[in-house]
Amino acid sequence: MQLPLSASLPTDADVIIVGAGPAGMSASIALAQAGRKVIVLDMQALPGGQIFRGLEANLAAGCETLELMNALGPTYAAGEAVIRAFRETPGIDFRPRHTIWEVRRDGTIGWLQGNRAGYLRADHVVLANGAMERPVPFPGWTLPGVMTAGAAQTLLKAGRMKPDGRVVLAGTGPLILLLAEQLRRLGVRPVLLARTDHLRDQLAALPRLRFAALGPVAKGLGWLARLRLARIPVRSGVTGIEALGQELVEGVRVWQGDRVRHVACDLLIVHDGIVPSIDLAQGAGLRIGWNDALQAWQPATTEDGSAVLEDGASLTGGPCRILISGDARCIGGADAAIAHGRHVAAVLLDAKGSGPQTLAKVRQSLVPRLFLEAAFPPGLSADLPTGSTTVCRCEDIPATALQELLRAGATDINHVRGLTRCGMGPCQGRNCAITLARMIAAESGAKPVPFRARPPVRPLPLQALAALAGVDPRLAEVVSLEDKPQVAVAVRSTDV
Amino acid sequence: MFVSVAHFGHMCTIHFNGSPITARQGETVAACLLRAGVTAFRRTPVSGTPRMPYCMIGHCFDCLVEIDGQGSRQACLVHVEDGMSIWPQDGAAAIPGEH
Amino acid sequence: MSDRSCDVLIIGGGLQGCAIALHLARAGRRVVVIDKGIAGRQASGVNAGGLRLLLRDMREYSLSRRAMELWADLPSQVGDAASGCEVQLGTGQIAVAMDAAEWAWCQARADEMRRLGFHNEVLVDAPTIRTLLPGVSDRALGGLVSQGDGHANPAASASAFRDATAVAGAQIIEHCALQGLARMADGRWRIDTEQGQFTALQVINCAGAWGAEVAAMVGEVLPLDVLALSMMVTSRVQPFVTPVVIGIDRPLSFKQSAAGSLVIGGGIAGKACLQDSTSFTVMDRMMASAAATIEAFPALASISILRTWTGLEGKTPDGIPYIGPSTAHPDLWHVFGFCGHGFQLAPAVGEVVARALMTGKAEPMLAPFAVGRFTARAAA
Repeated sequence: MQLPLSASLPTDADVIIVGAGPAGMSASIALAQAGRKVIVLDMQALPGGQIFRGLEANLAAGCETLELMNALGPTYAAGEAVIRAFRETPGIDFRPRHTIWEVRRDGTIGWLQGNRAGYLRADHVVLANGAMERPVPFPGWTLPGVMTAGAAQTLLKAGRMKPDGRVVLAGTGPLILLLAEQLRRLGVRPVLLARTDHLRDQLAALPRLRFAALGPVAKGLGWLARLRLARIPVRSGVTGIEALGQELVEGVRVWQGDRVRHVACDLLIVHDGIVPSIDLAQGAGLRIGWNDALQAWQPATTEDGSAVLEDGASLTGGPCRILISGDARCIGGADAAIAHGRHVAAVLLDAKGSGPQTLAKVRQSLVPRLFLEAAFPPGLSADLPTGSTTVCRCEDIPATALQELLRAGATDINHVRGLTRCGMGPCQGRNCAITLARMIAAESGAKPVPFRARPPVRPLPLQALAALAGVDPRLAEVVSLEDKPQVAVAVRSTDV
Repeated sequence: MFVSVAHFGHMCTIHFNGSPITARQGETVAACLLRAGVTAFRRTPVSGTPRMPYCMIGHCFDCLVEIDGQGSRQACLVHVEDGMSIWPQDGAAAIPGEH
Repeated sequence: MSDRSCDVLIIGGGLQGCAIALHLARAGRRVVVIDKGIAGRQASGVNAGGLRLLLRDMREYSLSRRAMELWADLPSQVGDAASGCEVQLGTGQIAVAMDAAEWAWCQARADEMRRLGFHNEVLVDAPTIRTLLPGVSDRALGGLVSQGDGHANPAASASAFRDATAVAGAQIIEHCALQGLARMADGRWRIDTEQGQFTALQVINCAGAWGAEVAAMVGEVLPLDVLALSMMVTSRVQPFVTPVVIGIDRPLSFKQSAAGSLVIGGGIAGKACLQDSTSFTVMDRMMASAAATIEAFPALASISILRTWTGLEGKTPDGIPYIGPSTAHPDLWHVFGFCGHGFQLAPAVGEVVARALMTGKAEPMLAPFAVGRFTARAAA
């Protein structure tokens, strides 16, 4: 049965962009300026993505948020320009509080807002849905009071609140150093910054240091200097942590090799880098590859952002109309996201002159990552969880339960999911897929593969599904199995 | 565990677990509850252990609460509204009207 | 080191294949089961898990009743793994009539069942159905209840049968796709696979959605449509419904699993890709089962679907499977085409088919499933 191309249905826009962070905003601005009809959808109520979360509201609050803005720093404030341009450029149809639960290669997307849902179609779809924190399973990581650095930053930016009490920061990466500095500016003195990276990582990364990275590096060194001046304890080369407590985190054990310390705390903030969110790309049947250095999946794209389809059968046919930009494509930060968003727009506009220019900026913007990735390698997640450490947060599944199956020879991640329920909870594997896939890969030697993804990739209320707007009438024609038997017909046993 | 650095515009009142909490227009339910000192947003259906938000950006689903009768709502994605009635999700989600 | 010659080679390690293999192996036959993937991962593992006599086609009734007895005695077949199969019997299945036409149909069905001497399907009126299903819509007019029915966990059950079959002495060889099937001069079968060649005295085609392709390898044309049947599941909810609920004309079908999630079916088709052994959910079509679910149970409107899945299933022209000897070749049986309701039948299919093979005598219970019934009609 050949499903018809949805391209023959009328489109709602020239381009649909998923994500109103720096990449999505930049792409939409350039496209709208060139007269294209653009729809931008985002899960949040305001644009900005994660890095510029709440910026619009914080700027509008004037002196109320002065101290907060100063603490958050110049990089955050610099997002004002792109948000202003996003709001002021005519022709951008911004739809906030929209959750995307399906993406198809033919340019169809499924959206949900509140209790209403439907499909939208465009000639091209740009996935700029960003990144998420690398899940970091360690003993006690599910305790209330253990949260990610991103969570703490979101609470600062969008919640206008800072931690109160004894805070421990643990992990690696520029983000946790930035957070430590932001907290310091707000008068929060962490009782410990436990870094898994070590000076030798940074020294080993020096050959990758390019001129373009000097700015960020200098900034980072400045933060560390100020933390030292403030006499905030910093330990490097941390090899493991364990969160302790009954109903709430009460303390953390910190290992540096064989040496272990116990530190009492009220809040444990962890960070082990960020990884691309692949849920939408995977649901669309795009090729996803394992990046060994990143220890995470990345969608396969050209440098322009054009996505590559996975081999084999697919729901719909025709060319792949999906591009991926920003951190969803590869981790690069805000400047790289802005550069790539502009480049994707240039590519879509088929602008003869600007393509090479915007591409050059993309390459330049990604240069600092070469150093940063090597200087801050995965730390807390480097060793796979063992014993009673929870792997699947949603379903409370410990490492031992999964190890049992793996030792018995299970190698198919979907099979393991079916037998254990790992990955079947509300987060649908966002926080356990990487871990489980690495555990399987450690036994089998094959590269980690993700769970099979099917729509909806985010929860979809039954009433929203029952009344989907914009369906393809040819697809919606219900072909169903009639298994209601005949009645009032004499059935003889020899009837065949 | 958390204190305000700056305030929002209008105040309003929501209820959590039957008790009133001062909330601010423009903040998420998760932020409001954390500021109010809530440490258990839910208990997991499998082991009954308490959970608090882990990621605050809609990826961990640990902030699930019941809002105005609807279960399994992600508190970090929902903004407070005056009069909201929020309950911790104890295990599986409740079905509206069925208690 | 696998033994390359055997008494019976079974193509397909799903529930039907493993149930048959289990009985044959316990009777001392040397059995090999081959599966092109992981055994039990196709329709066997992804169906709704209904254990249903309710509204079953009369031609399947005897087989189905024997299967119910076997499900009630699952440990005798799969040992300790039975508890993991989450078998619920006696919790009932209820067909809900949502309009006058469906209610009239229920009454006609109840009359017919009484006339035929079956008493397990009981007609219930509106007040009674609200007692049995507290959340049901006020528009429900009544329905039919089969109280002895229930449900189980399909993936766990498929796994349990597979393991029990291995314990009984059958060889189960996975990732072993069939490449050729031919009779040799001495009357034995030669089976070519991606893991080499096997020989067998008898072959059973339990290849599910691929059953017709296997039959075609030996020149037998058995009409079969391939459908990708779709299911969806909600997040865990508080206990809401005990019986399994099915519709009459509407695509309504759901149960509450042991985990507490609602597993919703309705027989909606996705996109089937037999060649790639895969299938896709078409959300545009799932609208109908979502609508039917909340029409019957309005309180579920705000409950969210977490994910969907599909499985490849074979459907015959008359809605009941092929279970019987080939009409074209001796020592070859076809057991496939279960039209989305083979899960419950599997234990009895295993017992009866094994018995037929061992005694060489026809089983009256299997008469309606004769393999040549379509070509015989065409020829007539």
